[in-house]
Amino acid sequence: MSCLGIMSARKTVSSVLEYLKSGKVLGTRSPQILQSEKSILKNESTALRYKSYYPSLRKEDFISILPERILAPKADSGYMSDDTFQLVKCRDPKFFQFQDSYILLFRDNKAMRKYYESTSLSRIFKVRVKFNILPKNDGMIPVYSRYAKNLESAFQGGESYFKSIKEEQPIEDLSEQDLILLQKSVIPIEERSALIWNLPIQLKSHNIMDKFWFYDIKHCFKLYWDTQTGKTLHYVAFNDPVDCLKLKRNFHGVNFDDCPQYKLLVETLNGEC
Amino acid sequence: MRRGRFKLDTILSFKRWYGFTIKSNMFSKRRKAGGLIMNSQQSGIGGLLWKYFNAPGNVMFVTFNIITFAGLVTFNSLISAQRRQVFELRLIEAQNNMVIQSMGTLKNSTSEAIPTLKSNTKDEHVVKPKSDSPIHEYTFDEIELSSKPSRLTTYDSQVAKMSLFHMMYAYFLMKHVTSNGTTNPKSILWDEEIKIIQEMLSNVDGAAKQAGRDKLLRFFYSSWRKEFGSLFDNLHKSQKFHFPDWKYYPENMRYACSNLYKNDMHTIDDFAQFYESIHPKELKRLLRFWFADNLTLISPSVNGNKEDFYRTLIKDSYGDDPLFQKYSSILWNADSRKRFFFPTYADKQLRTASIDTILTVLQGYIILHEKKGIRHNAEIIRLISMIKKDCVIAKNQTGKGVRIFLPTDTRTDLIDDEFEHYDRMLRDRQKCYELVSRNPKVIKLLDKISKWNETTTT
Repeated sequence: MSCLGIMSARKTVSSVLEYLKSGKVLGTRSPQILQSEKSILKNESTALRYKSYYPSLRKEDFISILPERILAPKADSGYMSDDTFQLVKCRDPKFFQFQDSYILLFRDNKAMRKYYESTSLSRIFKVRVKFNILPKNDGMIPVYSRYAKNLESAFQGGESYFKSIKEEQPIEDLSEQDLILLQKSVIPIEERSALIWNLPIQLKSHNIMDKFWFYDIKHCFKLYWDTQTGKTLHYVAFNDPVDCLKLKRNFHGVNFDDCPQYKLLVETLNGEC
Repeated sequence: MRRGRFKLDTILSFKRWYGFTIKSNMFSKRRKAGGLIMNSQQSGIGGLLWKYFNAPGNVMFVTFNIITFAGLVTFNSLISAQRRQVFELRLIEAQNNMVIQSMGTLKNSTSEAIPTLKSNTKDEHVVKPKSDSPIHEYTFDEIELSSKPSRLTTYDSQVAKMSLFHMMYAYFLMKHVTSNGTTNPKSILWDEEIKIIQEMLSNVDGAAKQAGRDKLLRFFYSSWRKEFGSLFDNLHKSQKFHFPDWKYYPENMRYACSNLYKNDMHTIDDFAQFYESIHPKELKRLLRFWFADNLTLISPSVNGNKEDFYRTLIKDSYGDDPLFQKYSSILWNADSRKRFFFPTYADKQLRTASIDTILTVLQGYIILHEKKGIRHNAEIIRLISMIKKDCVIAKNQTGKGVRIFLPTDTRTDLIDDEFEHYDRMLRDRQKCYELVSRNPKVIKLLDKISKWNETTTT
């Protein structure tokens, strides 16, 4: 038994552990990608669609499913940097409803392929993720920019919102840089906006503001109502994002005036819960 | 004289009030009617009643009774009648109300609802929405659900599984890197992984695999724990962890992975089952290292008794000084790990170990002494004194057996006057000694120890 032997064996152990620190573990991603997928990956698409009924996923949730992130001791390991992809939450441009899918918009095709390959065996909420590769120009960006425009005008007031949705001008396709800028401009509005379902149809906006006087509401108006079923959807703009979140936490699922027919459903637009 | 007078007075007053006199011979045995019939000439019920009601006291008593009873009945019926009336009134009122309300809502819906809407439009500047609606109706086919139900896990079991997996993965990588050459013709990917690491190490020494394997494993475990211990503190990460596809792994690892995956890893029973399912000795040793440090991730067994598994761990650690000490010290160290293995005695906080367990540990120390020349005299003395001082007869499934009290966290010397079973135990002590003295294993082990002394003295 030589001392040298022990030393080299220890070196081996250290290097194996050093290697594992990167979080690379065999079998966390599938090495073979189907031929059909390969052909789609080859064309220049840069976007992936993820279907989910949960509206509160964030960008970090998509980054943290990378196998390197799970099995590496350091929090920021892996190749993923901040600008590798943008997460776009699909919302209806008119009523701002979440449309059960997210779009991951990558910097380039290469980054997308890398992400697609490494997450092929990952899970979100214990369910294997299934990304759909979107073709290059699928019209997602115009929908998003219309949503952003409508939301901005809704935040200004009911009048400008209804004017804006009436116009429905075709909006030119944005470049990715513009999209990032647009997203950044929408973030402060989203965190100050909430949607409330099922407020009584006869309530006027000043009634609502009186009722929720405790919260710093900028303005609110009806986005949608149905006299037959009594369903209403209100848009509420806040001055302070904290109040927006507070209202959601305090009133989501509450029976308005203790009436079971007015069971409020509150959703914040940035998905905080 | 005076006495007789008094008697007469009472009889007179008695007669006036109750209509009959008590004669001096009234209670004599000869009277058959028991004294109720006053006069033998006026026999029969009529006569009796006549006599009874003839007295003013009786009449008054009965009349008052009747009047009170009648009064009560009338009062009761009056009240209940009133209540019924009130109830009926309310019922009718409520019915009327309902009818009025339903008519009212009809009216509202036809005439009043529209004006509110109208005023709404004025007030809120609302454009009538088009036919499209934000309400999305899902159909059953449309909804995608995951077909596979995932396993239910607790935080702890998830962390335990994740760290066990990671440790085994690192271990197999290390093993194959040091052993050189292809290990598994089936998994090229695994070999590629090994080659990458081997290239990192420019000078892998072939001698490494033999050189101090024992110490190497210990070194491996401690450095793995140092590097990756923090990984398992992060609950977000462990929550997201799932087993990688183990088809690329070498055979032993695949087997261990599938066993670990199937295992719930909730209680110590689960771990024991997993431990038994693993066969390579070195991997078992690694698991013992892990288990000694991560026992708290696992819950105690439901019946709180896992002594047989403790003995297995002790026996498997024979001759392995650091691990053996880790496990044997559970017996006397003030830590809560005792609750994982040993049952309580008579519903007290005290825990007992069977004499066999103590002897198994003692034997381990003897082996260390004889084979490795490592002396743990303090521990041996401690064990012997435990057998001598803290033994008790306890009933178990097989019958009466000798058990040894284990020191608690607060008190090291258990048997003192405060303990309520003390008297009984003193009486049992004699029996206990008898049982211990008949135990051939005790004699054999003590014999061995006494021979050391001879050899050292001579």
